[in-house]
Amino acid sequence: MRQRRLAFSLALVTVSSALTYASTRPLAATSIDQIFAAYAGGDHTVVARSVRLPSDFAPLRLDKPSVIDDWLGAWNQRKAMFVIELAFVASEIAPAKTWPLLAAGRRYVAERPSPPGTPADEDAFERMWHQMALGLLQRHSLADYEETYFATLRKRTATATSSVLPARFALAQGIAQEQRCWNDRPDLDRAGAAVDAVARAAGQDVKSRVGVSKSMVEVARERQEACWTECLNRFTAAAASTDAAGAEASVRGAWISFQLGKVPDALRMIDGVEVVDDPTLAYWAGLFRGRIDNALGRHADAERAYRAALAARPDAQSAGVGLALTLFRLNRDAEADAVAVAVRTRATVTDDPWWTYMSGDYRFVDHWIESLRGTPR
Amino acid sequence: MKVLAIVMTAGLVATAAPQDPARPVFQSAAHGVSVDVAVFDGKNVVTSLTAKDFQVLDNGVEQTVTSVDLNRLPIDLKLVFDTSGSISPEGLERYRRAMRRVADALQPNDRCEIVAFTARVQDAALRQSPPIAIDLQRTLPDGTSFFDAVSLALVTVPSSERRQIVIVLSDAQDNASFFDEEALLAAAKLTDAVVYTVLPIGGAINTGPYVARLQSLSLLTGGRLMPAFSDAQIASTLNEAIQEFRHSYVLRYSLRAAEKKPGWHKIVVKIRSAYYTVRVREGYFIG
Repeated sequence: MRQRRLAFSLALVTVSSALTYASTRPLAATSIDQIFAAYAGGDHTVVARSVRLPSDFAPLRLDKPSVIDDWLGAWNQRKAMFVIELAFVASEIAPAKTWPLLAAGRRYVAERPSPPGTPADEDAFERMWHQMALGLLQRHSLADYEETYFATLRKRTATATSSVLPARFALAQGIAQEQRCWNDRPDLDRAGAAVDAVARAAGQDVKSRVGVSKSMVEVARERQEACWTECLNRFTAAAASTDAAGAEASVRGAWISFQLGKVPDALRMIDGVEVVDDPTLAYWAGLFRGRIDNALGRHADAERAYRAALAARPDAQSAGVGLALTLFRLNRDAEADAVAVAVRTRATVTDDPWWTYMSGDYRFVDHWIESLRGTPR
Repeated sequence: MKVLAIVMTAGLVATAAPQDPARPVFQSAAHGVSVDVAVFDGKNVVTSLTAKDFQVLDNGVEQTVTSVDLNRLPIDLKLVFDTSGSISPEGLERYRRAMRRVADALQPNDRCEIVAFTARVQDAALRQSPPIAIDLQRTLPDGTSFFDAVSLALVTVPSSERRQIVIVLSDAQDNASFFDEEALLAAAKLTDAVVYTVLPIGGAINTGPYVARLQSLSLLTGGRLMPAFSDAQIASTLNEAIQEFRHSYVLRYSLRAAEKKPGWHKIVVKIRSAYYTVRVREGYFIG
């Protein structure tokens, strides 16, 4: 099994609308009722302007889900909307506040008086609310909370129609598992030091514990492989869908297969995936395809794949590195050198979508919150 | 390394293979190989050897050394600086001064390129001859793309008129690269450059777990891992590496037809008449 590097989410990479708003006129932190009154009156930027620092949450007294429950009271769609706006801002400036807000909001939305199916616009609102909530959780790889959220949604749809289930629900389950595997991965590079510490604590002679070290590393590898395998199963299930989420599940599943060393399977899974209107996914698809082709010795195909990735995101670093190394492998050294220099000297500061790969659907939340704001109330 | 395998080959014919259209197929009788060799007597560099003093084995087959150069060719230097983490403006300024000292010590025909990386890889100085214009900026986003930055720096263009050296200053931690150690070592097998790695030791830098990465990279390419025990020592360490490289030999030999098998070629170099220490890349790749 390959030991994957990265996939951390760089907090600085995505500049959300919340930060954009924060650059406008700030408001002094005030009570939650005052901010809500302005919001309900149509001021969609009031939350970001009022809550600019983690300490700005304190006067709102939203420390516990039960407090938020009390404030929410009887069903009011504007309050549901307001809570997710707060969670959106929290994900920017105080990630630890995100889950309590979403947990309370999720219960509130799922317990709205109208049952799923009636009326349809409330179903659409709920569906989008859950989608947005999962996107916010994915941003910070909060896999345990995502799993809790899935359980709630499964329970809700067990007794009602599935019309409130987000379209990307199956994909989200794969992403949560992927995040869990990444969060829990053993740092095999450091296994020696870790094992030394364990062996010393157990009173063993560190100099003669090679066998112990090896077995512990193997256990860690096996556990990680089991995690990736479950992840692959989830993506494979999600890939059955013919929509955009299905395409993304295929791309992510191929990447997991690659991590597992199942390179031909990875190629089969990513081959023919069609990406529509999602440059980030198109970039990931080209990037992963390039790496898979490299591993199979198909360097000419890898070149095409990296170039496709660069067509989606022209200045992104990882695909540029991949293209340079592939040309180098093809003995086209002058071209490889030119690409390498171009990567290092590009004038634009385009962030590499690879750096936000683990943040999953967070890339859509700006769009989704705009849609929610436009939902009839 | 693949460099002079192309440049020195007489009658080279490139034919198209289905997957790798540009991959050359060597059909000539001679296949020239050029390799950098550093020789030491204790800690002192040995500079008095001639071709007959060297014994070269290529995949176990003894070769005839056709020429030996010492300190004749200009160098192409790539300095790769890890500027990730919590480096302060003062720390960045110290790096800038170290770069300046190294650049000022270069010879007129040398060329230098300076690369800095966090998550992002960026030139702090374009490839140029002295005087070197340096523009070192703190780049965002934070994170460390060690594998991507160093792999990219190993992309070199073969030349029989210049020698290639890459010096990497880093603790080798990584959390943002798309590529990995496997890709880095694959690039190291292809590059013409000798790679020196300089590990900053001291301060808050965790030096332990990743040293093996630097060691592997250096050994594979014929360079070595060098510690820098303080910021003040960085420039002198870099210059020491450059001087050592400058005073190493360039050995050339020609493979016979039967020896030109594609794949990895292991190189062993020994000194016939003295117990000197020899440092040379582990091999090169024909493919």
